[in-house]
Amino acid sequence: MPIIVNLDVVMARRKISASQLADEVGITPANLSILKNNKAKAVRFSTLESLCRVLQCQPADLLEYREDSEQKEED
Amino acid sequence: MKIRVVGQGGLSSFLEKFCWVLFCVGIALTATLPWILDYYGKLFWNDLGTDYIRILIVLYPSALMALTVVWQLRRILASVNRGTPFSLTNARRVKIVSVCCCVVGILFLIGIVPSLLAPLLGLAFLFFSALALVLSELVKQAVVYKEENDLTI
Repeated sequence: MPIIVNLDVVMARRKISASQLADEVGITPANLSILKNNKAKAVRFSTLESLCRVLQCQPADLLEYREDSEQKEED
Repeated sequence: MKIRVVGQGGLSSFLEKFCWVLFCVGIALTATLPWILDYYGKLFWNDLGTDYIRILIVLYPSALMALTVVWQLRRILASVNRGTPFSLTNARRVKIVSVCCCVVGILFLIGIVPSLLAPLLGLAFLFFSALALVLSELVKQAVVYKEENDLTI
């Protein structure tokens, strides 16, 4: 998927552990891991809002669009 | 009175156990089919004559298909009781049920069994087969939706 979740970068910048973030955001560590490893298919606005509030960042800091190499070839 | 449908101690759990009983009775009936048919024939038509082999040719594969259907239903019910009903394995199991019903339907429709009810039974099995095929696709779609829901954070 061309949408990359830069959660680990922001977490490192804020010096917050995965378990602490999961606890403060109100999601399970397993779901946070899915998000961190780019396995998620969708993110709820409510989750994004909580992440931005806890990490004091903007959605753009967490999400990034990177064009797929396959898609590039098609174009 | 509210009946518990799914889970341990519910209707699905009872049906799973009932499928075991049906399967065991089915094996016993399949194993003794030639004698049962002989007894049944003598009881109602004095003697089946040449129809005996023809009926046996239809009934044996049908019995094996019915056993397969019961076994697959038992496994589907077991997965429902475990709380994992939406899986591609279950979609495949429902498809197997559909194929088995189709085979039985065709066997009864061919008309080897000298009975007026046989073609009707064949049509009913073909109808169940079509329904099971639709259900199989439905389970497949449910698996996709479930995966999407599970991966929405």
